[in-house]
Amino acid sequence: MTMPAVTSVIDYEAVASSRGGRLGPLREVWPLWPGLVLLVLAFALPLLLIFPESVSVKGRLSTAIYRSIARDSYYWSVIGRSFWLSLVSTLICLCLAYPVAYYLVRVVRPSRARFAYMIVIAPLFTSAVIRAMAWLTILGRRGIVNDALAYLGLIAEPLRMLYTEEAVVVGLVYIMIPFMVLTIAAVLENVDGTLEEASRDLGASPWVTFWRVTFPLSVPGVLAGCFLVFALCLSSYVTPALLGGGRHKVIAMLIFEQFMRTFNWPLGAALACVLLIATLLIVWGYNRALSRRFTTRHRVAGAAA
Amino acid sequence: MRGAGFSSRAARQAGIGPAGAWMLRGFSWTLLALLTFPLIVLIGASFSASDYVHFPPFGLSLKWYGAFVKDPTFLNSLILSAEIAGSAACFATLLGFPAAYILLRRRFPGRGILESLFLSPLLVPQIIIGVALLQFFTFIGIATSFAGLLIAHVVSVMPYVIRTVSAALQNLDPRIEEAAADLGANRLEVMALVVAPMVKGGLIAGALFAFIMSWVNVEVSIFLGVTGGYTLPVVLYNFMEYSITTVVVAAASVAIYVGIALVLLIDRVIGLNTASRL
Repeated sequence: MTMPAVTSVIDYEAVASSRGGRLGPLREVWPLWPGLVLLVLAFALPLLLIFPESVSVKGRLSTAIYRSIARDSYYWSVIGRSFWLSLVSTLICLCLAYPVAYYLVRVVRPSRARFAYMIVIAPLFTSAVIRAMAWLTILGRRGIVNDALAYLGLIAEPLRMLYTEEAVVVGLVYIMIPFMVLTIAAVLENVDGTLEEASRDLGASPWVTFWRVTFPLSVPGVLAGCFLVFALCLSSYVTPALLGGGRHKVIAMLIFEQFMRTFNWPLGAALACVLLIATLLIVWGYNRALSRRFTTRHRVAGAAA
Repeated sequence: MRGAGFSSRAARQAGIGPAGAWMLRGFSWTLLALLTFPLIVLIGASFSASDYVHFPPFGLSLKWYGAFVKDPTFLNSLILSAEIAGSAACFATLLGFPAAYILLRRRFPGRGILESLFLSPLLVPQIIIGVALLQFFTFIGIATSFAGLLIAHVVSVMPYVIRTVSAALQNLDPRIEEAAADLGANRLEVMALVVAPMVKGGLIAGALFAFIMSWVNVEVSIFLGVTGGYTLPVVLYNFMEYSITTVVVAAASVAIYVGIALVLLIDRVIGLNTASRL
């Protein structure tokens, strides 16, 4: 997107077909075979095998598991909570991340940009388990937040902050902010700044310029960031399990339980299929949002020309 | 290209004006500080003299790091994590580099589908990769083996190598490869002796990315324990389900140090501004 694409000048297809007949092209690309074989055998095939597991009851084809999920209000409440927590986390993430992305692209001094980027990326290099552990330390009964509030005399008894849905949202937002910042920053970098200058020159206030020029042009990044973060929240397991304390179940926790605790694999597989389909729909939206970026740019370029 | 179309810093800020710039600066650095705060709390707590996890620490001591090194549970998991991450990074680079090269340079039927397939482990939720492989590996009988865990990690981290190497390959002039081929180099020689040295930075960064993504992985590893041990994040997770003591925090801090070291290394190799765009 930012680098010029160098396309090959060698006509490999012609070379290939002159050598090996119909299988020529396949033989020509032999260097990618080992990776392809691994992906097919240890990724695509296992993934496809989840579905048969979920539709076989005592060796016969049946949709009984899906029907029992659809009838049971418990599953609906878990799925509902998963979506709700993901939605809230995504929106909070957006509000916090957008200004930072704007700052990184437009305001930060180049000498500090590297340090700022490092701070944004560094948490990604730490396990979700460890980041949950940090929040357990901060939000616990004798954590730093309760200590500070007690010291200031604002509370007499420690607040119970852990093992609540709010704690899960805090943990999710903390994990997702880097993804949101980086996605929005990538799109903002391609927004032509001369349009903002033009808007200011024509007398628009900074506020009006932002809402009527900059923000609309960055909407594809906002959408892509939201889709990405929502999908990651929806399928996250560690953060809700550790910060929700097992009481506030989300769909990923149910899947984990079926496979590792109650050993009801067919039910686990059915829930995994539900989550997978939801995720793939969101990924589809993400790709659409990002491809819109280019059409938007073309429209702007067309209008400017 | 950063700030394309801007002549000066003043012009870059034209959109929001100086007052807006100051507000953004304050907000952003506050949030950036909050992003580092949890890690600082954890590292600070690991130096406590008491086994009760608290920040600021009760007294200062390195004894929990000593306890960490002496505890075989932690030490074995640290070694297992390092072995898995190191091997996964090697295999992912060995398999990913040729694939990235072919996908970028060749035009052949089904290329688009293959490209999507190679990147798709990033799109599928980790927990689903975990259960799919648990089910499959149980079926073929390698569910609790080192090989099973390693294969799972290679599959999960290979897309990072492919993205990083592809970005580096895009800056390469294909005519150099053509020249090498004209001078008699075969395909393998072109790739190993001409292309690989030219994208060395991309290869190293890709391998480092693969290492760290394997190092922090928990949602796949948690389903695939190796007989007699788990990777460090999974061991930490198991402890956290009951209670955390300072030795657990010290173990977590060691994992954080490895992460920070890798951030700095990747920054040295390709620059984080570039890395953040992958």
